[in-house]
Amino acid sequence: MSYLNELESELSATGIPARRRRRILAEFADHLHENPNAELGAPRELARQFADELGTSLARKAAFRAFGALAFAGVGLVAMFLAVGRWRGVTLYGTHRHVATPTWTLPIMLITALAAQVALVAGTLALLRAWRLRHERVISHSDAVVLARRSAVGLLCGAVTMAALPAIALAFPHTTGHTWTIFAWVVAAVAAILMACVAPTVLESARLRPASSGEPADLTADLGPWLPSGMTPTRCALLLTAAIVVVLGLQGVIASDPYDGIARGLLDAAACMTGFIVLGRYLGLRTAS
Amino acid sequence: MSMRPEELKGHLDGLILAVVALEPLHGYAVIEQLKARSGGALALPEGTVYPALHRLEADGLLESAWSTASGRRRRVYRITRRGEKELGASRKRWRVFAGTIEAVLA
Repeated sequence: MSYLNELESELSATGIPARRRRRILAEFADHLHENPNAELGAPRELARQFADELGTSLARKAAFRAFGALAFAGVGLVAMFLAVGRWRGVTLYGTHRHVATPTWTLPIMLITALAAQVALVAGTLALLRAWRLRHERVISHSDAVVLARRSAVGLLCGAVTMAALPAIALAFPHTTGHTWTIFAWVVAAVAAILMACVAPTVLESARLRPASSGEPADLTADLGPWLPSGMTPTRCALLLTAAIVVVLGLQGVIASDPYDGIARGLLDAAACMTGFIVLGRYLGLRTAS
Repeated sequence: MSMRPEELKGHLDGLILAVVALEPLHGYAVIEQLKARSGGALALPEGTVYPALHRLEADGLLESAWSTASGRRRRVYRITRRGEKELGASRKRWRVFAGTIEAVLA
């Protein structure tokens, strides 16, 4: 087997895409043409180095791009919700003007409310880890896996969340108004296109991962500089859930309905804790140990 | 005296950016330039430069395009504006590092 054939099979084994493989082989062929006695290194080692370096770059790029798309979707969603709530009186439960809420919107709104929170957490955590590792030439396999998962979950939940805008537009066509409805479809469509554009990078980062080993990091490593000493991932999650109950409870007090505020706070806190338990390991919030 | 590859760890990116900043080069020429400019001291395994070139391009510090020379296709790399900025930062980091080591070893 010639050197280039061996290199091709090693590159293929590490997950380097076919187009990139062809380019690498053409460059090495040119190099060997210039100097047939060149010492290029062992094919397996070289393939691993390509996977390490390209996988690192790809994982970071996927996280930054996913966060960018989610940030646009998040800002658009919040702006549209504020507009429809303040000017048109539409809330998550219906409208202030006693317009009947179609039954089909309730599961959609519940799912999108949950998906929005998962997207926010996954996207922000992807950004945090990518930022923490931004100067690393090579990151570990476990970090690359976590980055790809956070980016993918963030994008998936972000895409689901964007269904809320068309759902409101369809549910309250007379209340929301013509301009809001047009903007709702435009914001949802642009966000969906942005997320679709990022998806190939995330998929590629899931296929091409660095092979370097390393200790898996958890939430405390991502939040490192802002955390008081002695914090564990579970304590962070408990602190966050307590903060949610307090904030939503206070919101209820301000709206002259403290019981409703506390009830919503407890519900949201329970959802947050469930998310931590169910997705914690998968998204690298906590480790096995 | 040639340098061991592990001594170059952390400096390879800056070295590559420095030689590509002078003129657009293909992979083999990058390695030859590194050898020539170091008086033969930078004798690293030649293949290891290519993964670094690909990563620098993926990070937006280099850009590349195919060109044809003597009937052969070769990938020619040129530095980007971001790459020039990074090269400046790399030079600064090196001066601080070398000054610190010099102060202790001298």
